[in-house]
Amino acid sequence: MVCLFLHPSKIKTMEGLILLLPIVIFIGLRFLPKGSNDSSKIVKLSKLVSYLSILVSILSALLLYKMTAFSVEMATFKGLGFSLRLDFLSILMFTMVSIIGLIVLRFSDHYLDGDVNKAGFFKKISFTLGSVLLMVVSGNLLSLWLSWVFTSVGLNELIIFYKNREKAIIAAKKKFVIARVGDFFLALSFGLIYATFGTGSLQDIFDKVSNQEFVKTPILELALLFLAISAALKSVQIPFHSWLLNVMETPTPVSALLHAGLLNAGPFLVIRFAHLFNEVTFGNYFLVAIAGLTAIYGSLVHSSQPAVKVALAYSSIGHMGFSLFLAGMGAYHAALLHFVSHSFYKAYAFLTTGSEIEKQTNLGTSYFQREGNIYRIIISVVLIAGLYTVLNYSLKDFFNENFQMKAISIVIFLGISNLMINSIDSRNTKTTIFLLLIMAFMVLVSFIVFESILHFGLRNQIPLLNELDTLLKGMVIFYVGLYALVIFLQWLSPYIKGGKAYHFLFVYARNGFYFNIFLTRLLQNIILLKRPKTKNI
Amino acid sequence: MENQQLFTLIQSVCQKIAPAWPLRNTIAVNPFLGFSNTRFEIASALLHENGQMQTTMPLTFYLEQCKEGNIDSSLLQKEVQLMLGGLSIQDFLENATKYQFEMASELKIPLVINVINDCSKLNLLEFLVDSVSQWTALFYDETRVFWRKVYPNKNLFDCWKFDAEIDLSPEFMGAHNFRQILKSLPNHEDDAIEKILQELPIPPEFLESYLHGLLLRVVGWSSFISGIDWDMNLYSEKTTNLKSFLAIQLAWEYCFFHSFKDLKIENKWKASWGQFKNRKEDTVLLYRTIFQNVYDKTAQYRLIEKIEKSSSNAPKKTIPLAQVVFCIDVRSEIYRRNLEKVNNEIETIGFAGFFGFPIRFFKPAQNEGQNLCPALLPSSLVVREEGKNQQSSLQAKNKTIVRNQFFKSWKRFKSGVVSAFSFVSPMGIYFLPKLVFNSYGWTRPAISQKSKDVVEYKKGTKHIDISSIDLDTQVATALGALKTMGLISNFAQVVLISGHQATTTNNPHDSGLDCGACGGHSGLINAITATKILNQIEIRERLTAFQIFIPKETIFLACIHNTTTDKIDVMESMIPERVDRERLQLIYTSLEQATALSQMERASRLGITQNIAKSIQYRTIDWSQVRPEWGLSGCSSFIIAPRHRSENVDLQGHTFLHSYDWKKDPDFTILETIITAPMLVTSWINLFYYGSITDPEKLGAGNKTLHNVLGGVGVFEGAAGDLKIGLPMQSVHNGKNLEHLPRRLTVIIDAPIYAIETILNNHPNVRDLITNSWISLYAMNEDGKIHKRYSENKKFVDFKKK
Repeated sequence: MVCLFLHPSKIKTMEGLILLLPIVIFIGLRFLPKGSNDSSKIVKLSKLVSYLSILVSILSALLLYKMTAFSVEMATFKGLGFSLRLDFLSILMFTMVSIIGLIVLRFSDHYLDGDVNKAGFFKKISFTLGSVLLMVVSGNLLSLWLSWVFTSVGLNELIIFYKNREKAIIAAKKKFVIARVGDFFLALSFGLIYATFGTGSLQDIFDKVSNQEFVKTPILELALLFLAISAALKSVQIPFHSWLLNVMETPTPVSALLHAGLLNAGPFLVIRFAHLFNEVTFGNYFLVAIAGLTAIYGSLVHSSQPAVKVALAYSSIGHMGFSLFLAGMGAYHAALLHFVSHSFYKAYAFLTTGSEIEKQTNLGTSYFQREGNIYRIIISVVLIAGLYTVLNYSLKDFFNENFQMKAISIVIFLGISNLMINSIDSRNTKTTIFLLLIMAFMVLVSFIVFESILHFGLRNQIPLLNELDTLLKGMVIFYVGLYALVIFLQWLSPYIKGGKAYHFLFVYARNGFYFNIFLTRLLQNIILLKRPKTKNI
Repeated sequence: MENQQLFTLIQSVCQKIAPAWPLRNTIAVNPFLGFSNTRFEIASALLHENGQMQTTMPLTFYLEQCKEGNIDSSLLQKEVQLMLGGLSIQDFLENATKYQFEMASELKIPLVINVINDCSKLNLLEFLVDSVSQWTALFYDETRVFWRKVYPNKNLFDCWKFDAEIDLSPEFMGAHNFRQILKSLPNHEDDAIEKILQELPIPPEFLESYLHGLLLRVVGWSSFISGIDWDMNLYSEKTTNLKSFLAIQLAWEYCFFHSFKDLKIENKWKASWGQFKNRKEDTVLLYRTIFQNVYDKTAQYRLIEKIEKSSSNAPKKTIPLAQVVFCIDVRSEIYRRNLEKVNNEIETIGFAGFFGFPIRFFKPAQNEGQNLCPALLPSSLVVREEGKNQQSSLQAKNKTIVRNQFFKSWKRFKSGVVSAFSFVSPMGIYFLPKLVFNSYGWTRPAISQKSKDVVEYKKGTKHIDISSIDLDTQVATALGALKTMGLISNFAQVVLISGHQATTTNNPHDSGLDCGACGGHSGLINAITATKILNQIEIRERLTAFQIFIPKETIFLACIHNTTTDKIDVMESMIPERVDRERLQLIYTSLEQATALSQMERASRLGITQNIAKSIQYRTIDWSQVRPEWGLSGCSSFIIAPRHRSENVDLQGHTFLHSYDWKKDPDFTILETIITAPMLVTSWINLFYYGSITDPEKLGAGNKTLHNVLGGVGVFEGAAGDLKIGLPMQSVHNGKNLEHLPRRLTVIIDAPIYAIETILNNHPNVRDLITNSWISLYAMNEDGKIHKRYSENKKFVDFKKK
């Protein structure tokens, strides 16, 4: 750690350069001349760069530990231009994206063997990775906006990797429209923020907010509302989600990268601007309203899909909704934990979809059966309620710190109650029930531990959870109530006779409540999706 | 049309659809099974007209092959002469070059949906296929979706109608009053079919083609449902799910017909029928068929030359060091050749990989067994997996139960509505180490039960319980097996029975690489069962009554040939004390050497240049590997003869080998078995690969990188679309060239021609395959020369080489 003996400003510049290195190479790979069809060199190079970026992120984490959050200004004018921001959020994201990037690149190597465009694929995926890395460490509005646009440009290229697939083209077109609208809103929002604070540097903006050196105007409300809209568009909130379902028209590693690395941009943006969101109301209303609904929507539709990748896509929609929901109510550390966890989970889930058949064979085909024994259900409910009370009492600081933590822990406990009921009210043997109860406990402990770690990590860099106004509180309570209702219905599922309402719900759910078909028609009617000449199947 | 007549017609249409099996036990099947009794070129035209399905390659392919010399010009001349009369070969090639970028004509049987699609802004055809596909996938889903299904009964049509009557999507796509029109249809499928066919103006002479076209529109699902019927009919009652599925397709047509009335589709449809009636014969298709015939013949001549050149050795008289029985699989050929090369005292035998033991296998805590036998046979022998003793059996059983229950409950939590949030936040981080470990091949995403079994049976912690097979059955099956494999005398001290299996990771098509004769499973259990039965003294005593004298010192040993690594694992725990260890060591050494040689031979095909053994081993655990091995790619011929007829020929892993000595088969019953079972199966496999190449979209599984697995059933390519049957592109193509060449099976039998002719006359269904050019059959004489070819006139004719 030679650099630690240098003057702090020099260290910052050096750190900035080191951080930029993998980003520049990744993005630069895209613009290499079209060489021979031999892809091995570019594959090797891109893997090497992703190792490098992991190394850089470790280095930065160490530095951050010593120096807390800081900015590196390199070539800036009025706070715009080249500057990087290093804080817990950006380094955590940088590390996560680097690791997922490495795994995805390693996976793609053999997966795309024999494809004539393999070299092109690696160029495009490297470009996209570089853009995401740039986005998470951007220190000013301009570079944040540019990298935001780059990520979706890179993604668009990846979606139409197989140019002969009609559905891929449609997906890319839908995505293009939604992304441009999002870019537009983000540009508007950044323009208004710049106008309000007179600088583009994130550091300066956050400082001004902390010191209350700005005038609260309706313009800021508008700016943050636009920011929220832009985040919702990027992170597939209803009704802008349907393009995500068509992205299976491109190789699996792209899906893994998209679901683990790009969808997060929405919650990331909200957390990045947490200081500002704390000062406004309408942006938060918007987020909680749309995201709370998306969460339940994605989660519900997910469970009715027979094709694994489609199911995973709906699941991502739900999780992005939940993460934005948390961010909207100001529980930024919980939102961050949720989407970081989701990234690893979803990358793994996509890359291992090929093992689905093997897993099914290993487990046998019979369904899991609930017993429907009322005593067992009561025991489970009493058990979970007891656990909740005991923990609430013994970990008062954790659970009762504020309204948000209470809401989150209720949702978590509701979910765990599902696990308990599924294990106890079933034909499971005693050993199985015992193991599952241990797992339930594990889930709870992990939740407390990871939540606390992120809380600690973000403590100085993000405003503390503040008191919500009544309307926002009401919205949160409404959604938590809705989740509770859904869980309650699952508790009682053995008693629910498949009536008419149930049948309708099932048929509508498997059609994703017709959002996709509706958007397709809408866009088709407007010019965008001219159908190529009929090819009869 | 009379009622009776109509339903006979429907039945015959349904029989045109070949079955397909779910991916957990893929069985290669002839996709043209329904056309065995139709000439190849007529079937080609029919499949093209009714379903735009390709049975030959594009002309560019054949022209390329002409240049490379794989299409013999003198043979081509003859074929052109025969099929096109006056045309000279120059003109033929010139025309072919002219047509090469033209598609075969797009004129096809007009379905209502196609007529509507042609004049609609929306892609309704795609919508319809996606809709049907998604619904059927959910109906047959066994593991993923845990919403309780509330259907009135189990009939496919009834259930579909129940759902479709409340589904809004057709109306969103512009089909007015879809639900109302559907409700006006009778509830029973037969009544509905009758009503629909009465109302739709279909020219009666094309009714059959029309119905066939409806099923081919979603050929993946039609085949899958046909497979369900196949299995049901083999084991229990007769079911007609495919008929119900056809009724669903008809209902779509009917509702679309009525809801798009304002597009004047009735007139347009009638016009399309007129066009279709006046269609001309398709020249491109004809040209392709001519090329294909010559392409096949050229290869046949080369093969024959190759076999004849290596003057066959006389059969050895001495008792060999060991005998090793392999599956007839083409992958065995490479290994057998190399094994014989490293030790010419080892005799190898080719036999169907279930070794004549049609098993139903039960694992502990499993209620429905696996059928380890070819799809043509019902399984009959029940065997169970047991532990070392009663206690460990019980333990294993409990462990399985707990594991299954645990993961099922856990999955409910993990993917439940809302509870998924409580799963992801705390538990998501734990997937980071999993990602890393899998990426470097330190762990696998799912346990490979097959590989675990090999280890456990080898160590002896598990064994097979055959006690539920009674002694008479054991004797009868053993007798049949020994006779068919020709092992009735001259027993070596060690007889290895080698099943085979593949090891791959994260590969939905894994079971397609396993033993087809064992129903798309590993051959290990069959091998163990066979050796267990044959090693019993009581069985051997009773076999003496049939003139089979197995020496006391002879032991049968089960082993497993891993086709991905070409390693052979012997189940050592089953070796008795008395065996000659030195001899065993010698055999082991030979097996290891043969493994090394086979790996070297296969490495070039896999594109491996260095660290061969290590690279091949890594393929078995590489979660991103889309080409772990080449499977049966390249299979194009089948030799039914004693091994010494082909012993010195390098058949490059393209040939199925069945050992057969007609001199030991006085009444030719064994030959009859081979011709009616293994030969049929090899043709199934061959045409399965063939179809996956000629029509990669409809008969193949498309691109592996896009595969989207369905619960317990198969894969979609991309987000939706038809179910994909057949082989993925990566299994037959290396990115630059085809690894499997489109050649129909060539069979060479070493037996007297009168015997073969009699057998074929007794089995017209097999004979049809040959006379209609799905298989070519040649006979070998006593000098090892191929002297006769089976002709379309149902007898052998002299075969003249040019």
